[in-house]
Amino acid sequence: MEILKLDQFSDRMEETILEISNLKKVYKDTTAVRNLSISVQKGQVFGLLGPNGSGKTTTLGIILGVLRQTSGSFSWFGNGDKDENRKRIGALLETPNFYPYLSAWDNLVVVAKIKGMTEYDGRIEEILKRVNLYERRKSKFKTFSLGMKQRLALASTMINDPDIYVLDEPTNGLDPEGIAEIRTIILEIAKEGKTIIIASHILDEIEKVCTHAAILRKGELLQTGSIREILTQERLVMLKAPDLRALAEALKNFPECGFVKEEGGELLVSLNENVDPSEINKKLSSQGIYLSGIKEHRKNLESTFLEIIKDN
Amino acid sequence: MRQLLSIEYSKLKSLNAIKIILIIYMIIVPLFMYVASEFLYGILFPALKQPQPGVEPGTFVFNYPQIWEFPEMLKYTFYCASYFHVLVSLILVIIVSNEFSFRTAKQNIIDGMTKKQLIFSKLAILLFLSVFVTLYNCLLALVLGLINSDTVNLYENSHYIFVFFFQSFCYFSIALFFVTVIRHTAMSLVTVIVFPVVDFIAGKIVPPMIYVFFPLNIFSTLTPSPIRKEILQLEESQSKQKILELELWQLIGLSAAFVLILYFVSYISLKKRDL
Repeated sequence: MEILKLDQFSDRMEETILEISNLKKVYKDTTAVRNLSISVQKGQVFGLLGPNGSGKTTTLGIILGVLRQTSGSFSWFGNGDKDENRKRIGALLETPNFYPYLSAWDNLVVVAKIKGMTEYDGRIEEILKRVNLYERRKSKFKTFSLGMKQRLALASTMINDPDIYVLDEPTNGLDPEGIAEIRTIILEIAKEGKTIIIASHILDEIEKVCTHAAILRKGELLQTGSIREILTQERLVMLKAPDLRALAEALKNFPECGFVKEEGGELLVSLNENVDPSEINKKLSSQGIYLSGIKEHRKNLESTFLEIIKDN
Repeated sequence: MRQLLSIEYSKLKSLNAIKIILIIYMIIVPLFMYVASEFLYGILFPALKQPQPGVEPGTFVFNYPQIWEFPEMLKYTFYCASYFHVLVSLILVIIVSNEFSFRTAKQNIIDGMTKKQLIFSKLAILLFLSVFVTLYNCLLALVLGLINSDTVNLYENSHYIFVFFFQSFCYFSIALFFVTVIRHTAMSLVTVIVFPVVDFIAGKIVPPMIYVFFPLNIFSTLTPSPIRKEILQLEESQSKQKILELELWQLIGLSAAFVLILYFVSYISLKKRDL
């Protein structure tokens, strides 16, 4: 499938925050990342999507200096892969790692010092309040629930007000209220003009916050571009017929149809671009199958994602 | 470097295990000095005064060393303290293995530390511990010597202060090596504790000429027992074999070489492996 990189040719002068070139990571029995090239511009909220094992966390691990790539390169702010770049990045990778015997406050002091901050008390108070952990600031990290740990990890990314955020599954372990809180914070940060890179499975959330995305599978880049471009891949319709099974069988042989998915007694069908649903209706009736319902379905990232994954 | 020390201080100030182990150390060393002294004066020295088997009477003359008097006081203090280097090195093992098991070493890197800074931070802790034990034992020797001694002679054996500092650095480096390579908290602790025992047992099996060059033997010889020369002399007379005895500068050189190899291997291990 052709890889779209339309935003690269946009006529806006944009600053490239992250450039990944032909990245490859090979382990003993598997290739986690193969020939990955991605470009993230300043101010984008860039989603890294893919099923488990697609290489998202490996890629993030490499660009954050934790893993060594087998081949290929990456460059932050045009400054290569130097360690000092990481001081300008607020990153959350996999699980939150803190000192269990230290309090939330003391843990953040450690992070602040590592980032080279000399005055941090005011800032720590501010971000603890923002993630709703100020009341528990003196409690030891080991007493925290999963949601609280996740929120502290997010707080630690914000501590020196970096220009770039790299978040690996930021809503992991959060209840719906927590997810909404995180979403609000991410949107607020994005509005300040920061660049955010998010890796996630929760496509619904990605769609709500991201401006651009890259879709990975088995270590390879399937598609990249703005959310809008990715979503205009195809159209979706919900079809209903008395005999769903026969309908599904018939649709399987239609070249215009992408995937067929049963949802709540109806069939969600993706059609190629420029295909009019009435054409489908006509073809079906000529086969003796009559639809009892046909309606346009709102495009969303999940169905697009499934479509793209399936195609490849 | 100051920044690294500041970071480590923030990490460790509420780790109570450190304070507890150091307090145990500060109590146990003077305790051991008194108990050992009782044993030496009560049993061992009188035994050595008697005619020894396999030795012609009159060829081996034993004079009681004045371990509680000033010139010998420092050496005796350091000798007793050197038995407990392993105890203090456990602190280093706990600190470093924690960073692996909490995955905070990885997090430090993500937050912006370089691998070199990570290594230097731990080295800084190691040096701090060496300074601590050296200063403490100097103080101890001073106080106990003033209590027990009539004459005050502070200068004669003072070069031993550096020797003891160097020796503690060596012992702690072995612990750092093991924990860097093994990473697992329990296994590292076990290895650091059992290693001296293995060395000791090996010493009973291996011929003396080879045992002279065993690393832990070299380290411990840096602070010899008060009656080491006499014991060696006795063993030589009994076995009719000359046992090689290394000079102080040779011991220091060999120790330094060994420790450098350890650091080299640790560094390679840290660089090659993922965190």
